[in-house]
Amino acid sequence: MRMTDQEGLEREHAVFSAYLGSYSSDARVVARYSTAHAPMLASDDRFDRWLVAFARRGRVACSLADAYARRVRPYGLLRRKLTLVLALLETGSATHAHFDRARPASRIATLSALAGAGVWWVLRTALALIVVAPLHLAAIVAPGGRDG
Amino acid sequence: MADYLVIGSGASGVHFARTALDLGHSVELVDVGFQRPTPPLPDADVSALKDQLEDPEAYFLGAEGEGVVYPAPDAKPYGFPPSKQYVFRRPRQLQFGERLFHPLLSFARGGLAEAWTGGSYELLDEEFADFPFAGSAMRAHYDAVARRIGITGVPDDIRHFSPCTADYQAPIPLDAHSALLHGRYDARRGALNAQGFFLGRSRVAVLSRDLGDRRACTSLGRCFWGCPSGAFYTPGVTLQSLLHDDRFTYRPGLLVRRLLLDSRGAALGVVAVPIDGGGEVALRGDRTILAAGAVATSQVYLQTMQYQGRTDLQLTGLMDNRQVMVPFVTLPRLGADVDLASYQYHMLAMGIDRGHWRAAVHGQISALKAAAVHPIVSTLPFDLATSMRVFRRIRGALGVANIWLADHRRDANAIRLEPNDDGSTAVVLDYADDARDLPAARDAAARTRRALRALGCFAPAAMTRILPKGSSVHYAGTLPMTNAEQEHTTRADGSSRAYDRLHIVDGAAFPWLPAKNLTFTLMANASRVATLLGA
Repeated sequence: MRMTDQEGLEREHAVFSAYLGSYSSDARVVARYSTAHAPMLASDDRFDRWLVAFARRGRVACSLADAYARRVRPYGLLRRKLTLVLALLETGSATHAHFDRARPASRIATLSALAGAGVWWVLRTALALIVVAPLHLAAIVAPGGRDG
Repeated sequence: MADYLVIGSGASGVHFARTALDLGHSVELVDVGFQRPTPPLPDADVSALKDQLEDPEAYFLGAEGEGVVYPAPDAKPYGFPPSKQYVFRRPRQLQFGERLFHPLLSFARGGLAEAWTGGSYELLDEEFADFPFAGSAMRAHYDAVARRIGITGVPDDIRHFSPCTADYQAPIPLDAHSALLHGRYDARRGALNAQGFFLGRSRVAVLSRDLGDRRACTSLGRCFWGCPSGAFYTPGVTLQSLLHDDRFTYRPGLLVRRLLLDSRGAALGVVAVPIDGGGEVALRGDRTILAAGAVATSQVYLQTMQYQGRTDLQLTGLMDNRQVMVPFVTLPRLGADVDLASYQYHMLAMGIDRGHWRAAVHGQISALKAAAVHPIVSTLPFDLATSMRVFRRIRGALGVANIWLADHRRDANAIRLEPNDDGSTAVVLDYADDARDLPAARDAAARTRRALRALGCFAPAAMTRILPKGSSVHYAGTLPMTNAEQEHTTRADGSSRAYDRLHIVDGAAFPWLPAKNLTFTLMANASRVATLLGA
């Protein structure tokens, strides 16, 4: 499926939103996601496009792709698309409350949660490097793949 | 023909006009004048706004997502929302080049200060050392402007860097985060003062009590997107009041090209072009007052020189405060809640005494409350889902110290006209740091981080950002006031030494740039000049 297909964008928006913790099926929000793509989110980079296609497969793939992108493509297409989705989620009437609010807790509970998030991030990043890095390497060495 | 033809409706222009009108003169104000959109649902707080707007994404992010701040190497952790884009819109007739210095220009009604954060600080008497008048000449005008616009402030430790002589309103109550930092400072004042660090309440152009038909701040949490109640002051508020005066004429939609001169080189007025198209129009006034902001005023001045056939089309001495952002986490606030419906801008001010008033550092400390989340979250070093989780846990502990360093006039830093390939000319700004600038900025950042640590904050050095020149939006110095009889300078009353009947009342006329927000002093100086001319 080509990335410019409306169906593909809708699926992408749904997967990315679910990955970030919330989802609005409001047609206006989905349309806004599509509108903001051109030209801000265009990319000629083959690996960038592949990473987005990989992330579109589902929440787990998206989390691995994002963890990998944060390390090697922090300003790439996937991170830009995810940032757009986050911006839509934090402003939408159905979703803003989750993103706008702090999560109050005792200091011990907060520090425990931060430590847990840190451990989970390390594991996820390690797994992302194991899974995605070989594919990235393949993209680079493949004919015509130097832009990866 | 009006007594005064004023160019520009920013902080300087409207306060010159207000004072001149109060003294019985007539004023015609020429302006491009892009208009602020009407804020929707003016009584809704920021959360209610997201709930109640039909299309909140369009309001907060723009119809095409132009308000989204995408990850980039030089991205700031904030952006100007679509509701403030009018402030930075440029007319298509403007020809502008930039080199190592990227100024923010405004052609909006109210000018650049439509997007300011309200910091209002009087200069110390010694900070007028390079001016051709004493600081005492400004005090009555600080007071007049403070009464006119409404500024909150108290005489606390910030007096070390900024006197507190004007009539200020009582400050609005501190948010919990700022109150914690202030309390910790009080407990450690002696040790921190010994290090040269001082902290107090910000002096801010926001109302804590009603002023005329403006209501006191009702804590809607919408400061970043434009105060809908008028409690937060911008020059557009004064412009609105001018429109009710019979001796005031507003001429929007005009971009001033150059001065209109008589055969002896005296200013008769200006030549402007309509931004909607059409030929040049001439506008006349008994005296011409350039108040378009340091960069635009310099452009008009240079284009006048060019029209006269001069080839040395350059004004030296361009200044801008170096700005440094020091983000921090207040560890005792980890896990704390955030009140979104509260005043959003800085509530604390800080200063660092580095042994001489010219080397002092001034800053403002903001606790994070309501703000666009995505520009901050996308800069955290994790994948985005983890970053969001972490952010929600530490949100109530996040803050940023924005600090400024003073600048002085240097010949290498200039505004000049340069020919384009098509025969037209563009304004070009040149700015080069000297060898002491970056070490001074790093030293200021390190001292700020040390003080924040003493207040219980974690301020990682890796997150400190020394912003590029042009970021602080405090531009000055190209046509400085001085008693020396030099070309391209102005006298104490703002009068130009090159063109009779021309007065310059904006930052271009400042001979030195202190390490603090200049806007209040611009307003007071414009009031001072209008009083001198009107006497």
